[in-house]
Amino acid sequence: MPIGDVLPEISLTLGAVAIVLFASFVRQRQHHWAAVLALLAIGLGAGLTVAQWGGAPRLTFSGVWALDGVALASKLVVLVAGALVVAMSPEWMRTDRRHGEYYALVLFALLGVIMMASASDTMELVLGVLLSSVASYPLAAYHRGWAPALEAGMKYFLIGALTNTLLTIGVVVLFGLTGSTGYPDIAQTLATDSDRLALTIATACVVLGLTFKLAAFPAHAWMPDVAQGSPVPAAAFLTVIPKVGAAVALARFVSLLPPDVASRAIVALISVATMTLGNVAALRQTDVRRLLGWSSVSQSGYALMAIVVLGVSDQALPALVFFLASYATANLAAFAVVTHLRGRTALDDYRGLARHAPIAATILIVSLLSLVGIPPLVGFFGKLMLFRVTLDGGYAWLALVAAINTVVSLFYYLRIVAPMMFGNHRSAVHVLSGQWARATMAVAGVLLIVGGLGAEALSLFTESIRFAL
Amino acid sequence: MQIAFYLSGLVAILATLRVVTGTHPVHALLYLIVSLIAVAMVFFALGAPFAGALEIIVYAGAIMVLFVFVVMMLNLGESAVEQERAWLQPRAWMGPAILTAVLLIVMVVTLASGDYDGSISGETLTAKMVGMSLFGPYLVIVELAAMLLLAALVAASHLGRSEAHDEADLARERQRELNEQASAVASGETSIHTREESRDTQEGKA
Repeated sequence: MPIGDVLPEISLTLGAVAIVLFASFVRQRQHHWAAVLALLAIGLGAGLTVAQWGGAPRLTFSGVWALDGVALASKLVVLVAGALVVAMSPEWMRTDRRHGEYYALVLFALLGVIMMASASDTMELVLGVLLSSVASYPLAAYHRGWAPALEAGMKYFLIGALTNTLLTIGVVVLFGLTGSTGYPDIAQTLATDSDRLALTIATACVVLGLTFKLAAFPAHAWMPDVAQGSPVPAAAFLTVIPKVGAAVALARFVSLLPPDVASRAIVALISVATMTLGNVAALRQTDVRRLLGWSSVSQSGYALMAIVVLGVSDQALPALVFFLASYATANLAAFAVVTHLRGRTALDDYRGLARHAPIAATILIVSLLSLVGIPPLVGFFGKLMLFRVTLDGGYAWLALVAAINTVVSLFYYLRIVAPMMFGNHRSAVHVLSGQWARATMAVAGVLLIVGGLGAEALSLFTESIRFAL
Repeated sequence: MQIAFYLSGLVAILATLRVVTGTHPVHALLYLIVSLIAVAMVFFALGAPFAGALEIIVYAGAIMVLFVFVVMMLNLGESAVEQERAWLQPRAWMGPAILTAVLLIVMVVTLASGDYDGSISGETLTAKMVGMSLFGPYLVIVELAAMLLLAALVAASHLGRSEAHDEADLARERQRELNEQASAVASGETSIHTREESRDTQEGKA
């Protein structure tokens, strides 16, 4: 049994179990130590992941677990993002009566997302999606006495239940077609011959099931509500981390399909619909958190572009992972600022922020510009790689739509920036007391700029990653 | 084995019929248990003893006992019997009956026209083989499914707990802290300095 191949996952599991036990026996006032435990588990997991880096791509545990560059790179992105989320949480969660379990749920959700990214078996994909969903529903509704959080959690749950069912149906149909759940066997059977209609139905079901975790059209409706109503650290988690796992899982699944299935067309349509819808809906928002939620929907659309050209352009996977990493950093930085500002959400409350809280305002502006893709920030390189592979793959029209959408998105990001810079604010700015959120905000801001400056070096690491299949 | 298959199939059908037509809830439930055990026997006859055992353990054993307890706790009396009898009017069961009859016709025609010769074959799938595949190729998935259950448990315990319960817990915790401080003061171990600190924290809480 190759235990060494799943050491990062074991470290997350042990961390989560330790936190559950810790939170059951320790007084509420000491619960914030669970954050330290969670950070330790995540740090250990990240270290063990780095130790796995560099080996040849392979499948392990009888072929259900992929250990390749894509899985490892996305695992690192997920773990770093998870560490940032944990680090911005303690002060926000302090007032909750039972906040120890919050960190355990975060670790469980991270484990589920990592499973999605590493799954080389449809059953494992389903379990990964379920684990990350089940651990995320309570995160969205963590302040269960507060109606908006409950509403967000309920929406998230209902859409999740529906799409998880679709995913399972797709997997079952696929099993009926191929007689196996492992990706290598499925690819082999599909390549020879199978019922194309049934395969298209199965593909559509699996793709729809994964759009829920991606927050892509048509299962995107939960995203703005979660961004607005959930606790801000949980919203930061849910807008970023499941996306990474789902995008990689979708790419891995699509790469199995024979070329004559219309999977490219399906994904391209979803991509266009997602980015356009997200941007159009964000245009008129006067609520910053909701706006960030819609912007996060449109960013999923961009990420799907890389999946469309998968197999046509050889740099599609590095572009996908790099874009996801840059998006995660920028979005987490933005949400860290919102956490630091005690989750203020109305656009009017941001008026004159640059004068009263210059550091927070700077980091928010930098993260928004990175989301648009302004050089030299890391978001620019992510988008640049995406556009390049899309053009390489012969999808010029898709790149054009994405470019138009990017220009449109500049408008609503600047709608937040303008009042922050030039507006006048009447009273003092209330921020969370304590250093955790402030430090996370600073770290994320630094990551944005350093990542932009070191983008060339980073892309050297990722340019050769590919699937183990 | 064919005799066993057809006999237990017949028992399953008859028992299920009695579930539908029975007017007393507890009697209907007992027939349902018989029906499930008969279906389990069908599995045994088809060469799937593991599925049969699961059927008995999970359905006849666990779920049905739960049903019996729930029905007993609801304490349904004569009125329920009357109501059941009223529900057994033709207009209530005609629709489902017609639809099921269509399915029956489809099955009979398929059996009659196909190349099926009425024999039952198939290799026996034992518990050992199921276990081998669960802890062989699916090991990671089984282990992570355990994590899924644990995460669901934590989620349910967080979302299902009432706020008042939490308040009470917290108040008890604070009270215990105060008592500890008070006893420390009483035992004379603390200096004036720490006593003032403890008073400060009490005032802060108030």
